[in-house]
Amino acid sequence: MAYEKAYVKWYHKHNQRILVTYLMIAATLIIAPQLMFPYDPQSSSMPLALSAYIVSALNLLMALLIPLYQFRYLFNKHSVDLFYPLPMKKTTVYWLNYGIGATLVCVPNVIFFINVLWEQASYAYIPYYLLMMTGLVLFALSLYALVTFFVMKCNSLWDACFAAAAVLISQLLIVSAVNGLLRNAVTELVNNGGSAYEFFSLSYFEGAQPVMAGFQWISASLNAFFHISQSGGNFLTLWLQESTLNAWMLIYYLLLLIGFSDWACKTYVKRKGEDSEQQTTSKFIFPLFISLITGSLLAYNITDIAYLCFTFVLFFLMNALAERKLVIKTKMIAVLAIYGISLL
Amino acid sequence: MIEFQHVYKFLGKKQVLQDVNVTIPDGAVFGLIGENGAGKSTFLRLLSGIYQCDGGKILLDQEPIYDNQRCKKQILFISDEPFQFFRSSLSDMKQFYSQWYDIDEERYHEYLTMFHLDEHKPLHNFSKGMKRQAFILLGLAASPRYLLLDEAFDGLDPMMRRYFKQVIAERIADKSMSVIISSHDLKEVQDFCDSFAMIENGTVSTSGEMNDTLANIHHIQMAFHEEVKAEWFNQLDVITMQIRSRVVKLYVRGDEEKIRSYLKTLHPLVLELLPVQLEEMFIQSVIHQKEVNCHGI
Repeated sequence: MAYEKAYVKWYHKHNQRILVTYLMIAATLIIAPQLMFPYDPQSSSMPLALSAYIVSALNLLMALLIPLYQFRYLFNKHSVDLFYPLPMKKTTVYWLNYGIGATLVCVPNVIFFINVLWEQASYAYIPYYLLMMTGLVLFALSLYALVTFFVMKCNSLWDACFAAAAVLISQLLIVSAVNGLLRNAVTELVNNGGSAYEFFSLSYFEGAQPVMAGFQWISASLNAFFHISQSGGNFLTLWLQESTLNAWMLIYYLLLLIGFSDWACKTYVKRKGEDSEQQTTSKFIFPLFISLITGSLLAYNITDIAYLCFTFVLFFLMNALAERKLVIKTKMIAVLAIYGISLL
Repeated sequence: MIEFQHVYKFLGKKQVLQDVNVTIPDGAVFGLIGENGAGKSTFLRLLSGIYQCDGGKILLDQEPIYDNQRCKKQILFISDEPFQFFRSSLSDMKQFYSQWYDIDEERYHEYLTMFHLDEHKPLHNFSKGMKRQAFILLGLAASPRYLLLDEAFDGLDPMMRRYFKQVIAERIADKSMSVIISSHDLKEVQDFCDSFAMIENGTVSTSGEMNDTLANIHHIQMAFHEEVKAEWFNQLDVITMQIRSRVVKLYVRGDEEKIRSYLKTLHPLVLELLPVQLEEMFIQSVIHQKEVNCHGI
């Protein structure tokens, strides 16, 4: 236990400046709407609503960046030479860095909650805010766990940055692609067009993406607050009516958080000291994300030539990043052809 | 005591170490020598727990070292290019190391004065040699049971080498530390180390006590009244042989008396047995290995 305390103490001392800067920026961004917009009983939810969306955006950003910051020592041979020989078990080092990172991800949520407590008008709704915060923290931490897992699979900082960005982008692209495919199906079936949302309930699918869940969650919570403040009623009933993210989805995110945290730990323990000197070869990074991103882009739209050219160029650039050189292989052409044919 | 038992290590697809068997006793200065890319740094990284061996065992007092908190507490590794945190000073790095190792403050300040280092100056402003001095100083102040130094003396000026050798000798004398040094400076290794291992092509070709090993290798120069034939020396453990007409130069392994008495039976005109330095032994060993690889013997 002494070494663990020593590590946390050293971490705090070594990162003091950056931690204070982070706190100040987060607090400024979250509290700013309260200061910029005067309190108005008719629209009192607006400043806090804006703060809630800012918190959700910060959660997203921190969930992507903090794993890169916490585990950056894995990507440099010299820092590996410093950290790996330390007399601590690998699992301990992992959970210490992971736990500190998770605490940092929660910081905007804590600031927001303190801000809520400061607003006298919100006192009546504290339990509901707590429910909202619980959801936001859960989504942020599950995204953090997901990104941490992919970062553990990388051998260089560039690859880890690509993986973090790809986790974000691929979720958005997959939703767009599913939307696009279903819209085309609807157009085919109905002849006079229509939105996929008229025929399919996509909100559960969207809600299952950690990137989008937070914004959906806030939107539902704020609508429920608004209805209560205008016409009263039971918050939970109203909230469940507004939100498709019910208890089952919360359990899904909890499982995501626990599962990926544990898997990331196992991946960390299996990492070798020499990995920082090798190329990233895990199938979970470039093969997976290049397939997801390219497939989603093609599924969204396969008829526009300019769009197709953009997709092919992006495909080759991602492969160039993976191979560390610009190369066109027969395998790549074959993969693209298979995507195209299957979608057509 | 540290033991390497049938250790294998691959880096990617390349086999860097194969069937390495070495014992490093306590209270010794152990030298690790070899060509560039022989596997010296890999050896030290395996010992410090950075790498895990792909085969065999690396034991400290009969316990495996990898991911073993108790063993790693007794080992401190200073690499050839030590890592420092962004804009950190020697004092900051000392604070980091003091979380895990017991740094003797009195010794630390004594060495600071001896080596004329400013502990508050950012390390990125130090020269390469000064940076090395700074980290060796930290290692010595931490006094782990095993201090691993990767090419520690390379880049230090002669005065600094003298100081470090003096300090290390004091620590060894009070039996509180063993030092394992890898170096290209074979004169320093011979002068300073009491045992060594030579790594060639991923294997330990020679190891043991410095004086005993060198005493077991002989540089022989002979002249004959007729053309020399290589098969005359088949009974000897020849490392390398150079024949020029009636003159032969040999590096041979074995007991001096037995070698001398055998060579006398060949009736040479001139027979000289000369002492061998570590550098000579290393060069001849490398030449021999290259000949073996070339001719597939």
